[in-house]
Amino acid sequence: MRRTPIKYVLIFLVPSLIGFLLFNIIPILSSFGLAFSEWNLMTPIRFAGLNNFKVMFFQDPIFWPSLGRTLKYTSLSIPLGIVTSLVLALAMNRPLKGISIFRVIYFIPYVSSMIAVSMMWKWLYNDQFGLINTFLSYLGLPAQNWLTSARMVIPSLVLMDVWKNAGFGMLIYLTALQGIPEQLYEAAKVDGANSFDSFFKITLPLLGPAHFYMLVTGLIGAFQVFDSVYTMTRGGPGFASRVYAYNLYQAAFREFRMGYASAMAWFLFLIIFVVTLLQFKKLGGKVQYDVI
Amino acid sequence: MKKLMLLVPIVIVMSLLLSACGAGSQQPPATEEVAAETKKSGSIVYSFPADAVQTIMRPEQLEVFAAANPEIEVELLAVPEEGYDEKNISMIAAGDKLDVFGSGDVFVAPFIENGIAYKLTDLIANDPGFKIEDFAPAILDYFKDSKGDIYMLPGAYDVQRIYYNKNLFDAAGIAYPEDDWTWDEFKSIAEALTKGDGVEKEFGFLADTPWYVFMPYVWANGGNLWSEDGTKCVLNQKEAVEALDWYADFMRKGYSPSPSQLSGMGMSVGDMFTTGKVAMVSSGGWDIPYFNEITSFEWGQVALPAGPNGRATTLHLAMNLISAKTQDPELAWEWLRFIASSDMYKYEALKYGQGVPPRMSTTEEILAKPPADADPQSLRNFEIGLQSAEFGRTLPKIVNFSEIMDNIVGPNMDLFWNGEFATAQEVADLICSQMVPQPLSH
Repeated sequence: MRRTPIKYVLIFLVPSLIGFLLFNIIPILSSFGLAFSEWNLMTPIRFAGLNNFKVMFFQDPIFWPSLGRTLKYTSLSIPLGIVTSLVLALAMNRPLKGISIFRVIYFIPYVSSMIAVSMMWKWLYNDQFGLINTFLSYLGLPAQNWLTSARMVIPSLVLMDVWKNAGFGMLIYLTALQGIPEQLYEAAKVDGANSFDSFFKITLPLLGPAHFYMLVTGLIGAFQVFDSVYTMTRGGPGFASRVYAYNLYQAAFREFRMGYASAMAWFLFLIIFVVTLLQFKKLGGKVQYDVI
Repeated sequence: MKKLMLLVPIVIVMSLLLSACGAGSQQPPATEEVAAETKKSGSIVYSFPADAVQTIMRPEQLEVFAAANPEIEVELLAVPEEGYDEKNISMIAAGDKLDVFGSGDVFVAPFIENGIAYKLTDLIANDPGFKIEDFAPAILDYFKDSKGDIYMLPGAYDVQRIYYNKNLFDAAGIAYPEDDWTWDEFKSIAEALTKGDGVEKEFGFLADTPWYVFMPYVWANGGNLWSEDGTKCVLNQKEAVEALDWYADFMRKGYSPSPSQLSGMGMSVGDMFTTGKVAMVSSGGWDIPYFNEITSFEWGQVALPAGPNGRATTLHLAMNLISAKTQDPELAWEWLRFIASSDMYKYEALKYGQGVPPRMSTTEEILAKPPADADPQSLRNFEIGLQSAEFGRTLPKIVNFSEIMDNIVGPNMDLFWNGEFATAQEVADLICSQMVPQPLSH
């Protein structure tokens, strides 16, 4: 078989590579340079060494708390998200008639715009007129201050995030579930296993690769939470939902501190990189990709 | 055939590169000087926020200008309000042609500090017909640096005043407030007009919490957020703390919803007034068109009450300026002086009824001889606006205004109004310990 000459390969790749270079590589490199500079768009870029990081770590009173809030958000959204996706996938993994309609229904929120979903949920969460509080009142339960209480605001944001993204996780787990051979379950039944046993001893471990994927991508996404906060609470009430990415956005586009915002972005990248690396090192080896 | 296949991706690449280069390069405007009179000619670009008024008004103004100055071509850029200033700054940073543009008070200090605005002092000095002395001094001073050089010209301004629901006053048998009313009268009226509970509750006053709504009370008590020279935080001093506690009282005593309660109701400040849920609300003239749609009750406007240290209100200032990077400042001046002329301010005031002309004689003219079909609420707006030019003010200029308000003052005051701090002194001390205001360096 004749191999395509390398020059044709390159020619067809070049337009896409140029786009990648212009809109991804160059901005990333520029932002790295900006992380060590000061720039407010109005005056020329000024080299500032490690000053941005010094301010970030030691002088900015809102920096570390915002990282804490992002961690709090992540620690809630990852477990809840994974469990919800798994439960949905198990429920959808049946050869019932019309099951594909349900799969589509659960997947639709994932393809909707986060901004549109946020605006809708902002109304659902409304203290006085929102559907959720109205529904609670029918059940005789007290209304909650979903977005207006410092205690509830992050869990509320997590709940909406899980609702929106569960469909995608369901898809991942569904595919993985269908890759588990039936013989294993049959063999287990022969050995006297009940459904509890077969779930925890067969299903769950063999979903290892899916768990790993959900964990890695979930963490990467959760650390960057922004859209829902910007649309629903603007960081409020007070500082309660001032997450890391929100401060980054404010610094860049409200305060025109491009250098500082770039430094924040690169620190976030560092955190996510280290976390992902740790996951690969500690958990990657334990995941089984081949079943038999 | 092989050679042709080679051509396709090359053409794609070339067109991508060329399209990236093409946009943004402009020719400098040609200027010709005719012998006896300096007849300017050329083209300039003017950008403005595409709000309800300017979207219609600026093209109308351009028609008048173009008829009188056929040799000057003005390109209008109506930029969406969301991200408006970022767009202008990006255009300037990228070197795109932008000669004159509008902006708001938040940007006065940063623009002067960073050399974005063209110094207008000489242009004004060479133009006695412009009558700069006609502008209210308190307003004009805001656009000057410490040496007295002026960098921007004010647009129509707005002030905070109290709108009140006449029907609710009548029902409670309370006389309408006069412009010289006091803090004590204000509070007792708010108390008298608060009734009911739960979802049906009617509030006496909606104590809104943006800085421009509560700062007048700090000023009226002799305090401020930071010092006049913009070097240090003074919010934790006695006068400011007293005023903040006085204002928080509205919420603590239930005469006003707290910010959490308000956002929990899902209604805007204007909505709360139009639906009759609050008897009094503080806002600017921009709400007049919306309130003019009210049919279920009569309403009036009154200036903010006088505090222990006198009267105060917030001046909402906007301005137009010439970009320091313009290639023909004198040409740009022709357009700027036109939109800042008495005729144009009068036109805007009479047609749209919200912004108050910054030229005092223009406002006096309108009030002395109002047109027969003038909206009485607009005239009242101008009346209050003219008074407020005396005692109205805004926060002293600092360069890092946005940063301080967004990260330190805003959220912490939010917590305070929601009752998370026991006293105003606590939140003021916290704010002052974190705030580092950056004054103009010149």
